[in-house]
Amino acid sequence: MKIGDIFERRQRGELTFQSIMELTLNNLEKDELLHAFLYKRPPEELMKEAQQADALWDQGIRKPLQGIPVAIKDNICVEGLPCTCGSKILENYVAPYDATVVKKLKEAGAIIVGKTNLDEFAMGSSTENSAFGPTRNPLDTNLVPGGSSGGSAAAVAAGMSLLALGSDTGGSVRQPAAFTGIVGFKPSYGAISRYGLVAFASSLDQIGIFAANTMDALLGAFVLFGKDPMDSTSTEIPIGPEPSQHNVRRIGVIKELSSLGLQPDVERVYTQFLNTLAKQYELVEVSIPHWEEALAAYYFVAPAEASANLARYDGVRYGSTVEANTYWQSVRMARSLFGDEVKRRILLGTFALSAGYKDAMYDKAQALRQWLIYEFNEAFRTVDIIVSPTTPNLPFPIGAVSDPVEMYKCDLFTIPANLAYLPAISVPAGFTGNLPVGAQFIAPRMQDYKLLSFAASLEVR
Amino acid sequence: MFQVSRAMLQHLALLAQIELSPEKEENLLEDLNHILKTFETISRVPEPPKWFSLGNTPLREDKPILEALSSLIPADRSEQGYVVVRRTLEE
Repeated sequence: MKIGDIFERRQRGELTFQSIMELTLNNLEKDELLHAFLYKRPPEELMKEAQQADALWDQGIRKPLQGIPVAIKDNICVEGLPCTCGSKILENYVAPYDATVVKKLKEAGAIIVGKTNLDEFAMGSSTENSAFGPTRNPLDTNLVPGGSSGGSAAAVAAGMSLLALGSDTGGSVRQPAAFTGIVGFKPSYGAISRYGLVAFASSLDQIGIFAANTMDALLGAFVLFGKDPMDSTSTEIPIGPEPSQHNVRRIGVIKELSSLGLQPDVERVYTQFLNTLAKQYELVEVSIPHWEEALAAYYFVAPAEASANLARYDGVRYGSTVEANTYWQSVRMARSLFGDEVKRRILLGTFALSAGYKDAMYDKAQALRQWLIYEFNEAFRTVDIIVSPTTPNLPFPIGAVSDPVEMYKCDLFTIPANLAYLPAISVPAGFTGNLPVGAQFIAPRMQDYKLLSFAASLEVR
Repeated sequence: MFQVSRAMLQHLALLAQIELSPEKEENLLEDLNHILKTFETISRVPEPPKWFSLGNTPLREDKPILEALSSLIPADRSEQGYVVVRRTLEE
């Protein structure tokens, strides 16, 4: 049920926010198997807030997300709740304040259900890298839900919340949305404040929204967009009314994708999806020549930024303190609480920034980023929006991918939008058997409303 | 072209303050060189066009937001405007 339908039915007296919360609590029983949540708030607290939402409604008070259960990825601060980032090093950390997004959700009447599982510090594409165990895909519990925001995706897909927040540094909202058959939206860089989001790679990180449908994601964007004095990278990006879906006539299909090793089932569903789009829109081939190298650029830029951002976890400034004979021993022992993938990326980033190698790796990656921005700009001269598959592959069994490079390739299609600061959304394109395939739409920077309203118009058809 | 030697890995681990057991060192050496070999393509990227400018992300005025910052420090951890942190031992 869409959030708008809930409000209409609430108005007609056909349901209450307490009945919505009861349904949510029933669905939360599935979490014993799925492990989407690292922390769930007590049911009595949730029911009390639902009761308050009903009481306010009866007094005539209306808020945009009144009584709506929302899940928050466990790298976003909610005052008084744990914020572990899926890491042993933050196992005992309790957030002392609300992230701006959480503050806005609370002001909009949303009810925070709990904190969701993730790959440690959002580094991964399967949610298997969580120090507290993997999350399972609600569509098939032998499979991964994608990552790094796999817990948030599973929460929405299993009806354990109606909206969820994730963070998207290279596809961590869109890829799990595609793997669980729901909608995942990453806004333009700067659209949503990151104050209270634990930093991974600051030039790429964005908070994104999971929803069962695009209208709900649009509603979430209305609440969350806006410049925040606490985040100097945030900026005012309009979320309506123009440009809108009515400005989308020509859709760009990326020429280079044909050589990038799509799984045959994904390619078949994606081709059918394009055929459907072609009935309504003009499909035009566009070229982003550096699309494939974007993956390489990402794996120098993101680890380089991560190696700097994660330097603060020394057991003194942040992280569990480990007693030792000397200060540096204590620091090293605290940092040994990082998992293997985090250590791998910190070392890769340290290498990319080290003297003698920075020019060849980090600076080249930044040059490639500029190429991508240029090439997207050129493409948007001829088309209004660009389409691609969200992922090259289908959800895979837990434990099936051990090669880090194979895992990194899951983000082959989502990374370019992060590097170029662009808004992008993954929507369900179809199924092969019981497994979903996602399609990704990318819009010019700051045209988030056009992107969301266009994707929503596809659902109406 | 990009290659991490064992000595380089040990140096990186020291810089990053990460302790590695011999077994972890072996695995990481293999993984990092596999990753670097795959992503060697980056070295072929030519100079980007000169037009580039982020430009449209305005910066806020460059002044401290003291009121907002001080509100984050709990009273029991504040002393004469400074944040009180745990005592640590130096080498």
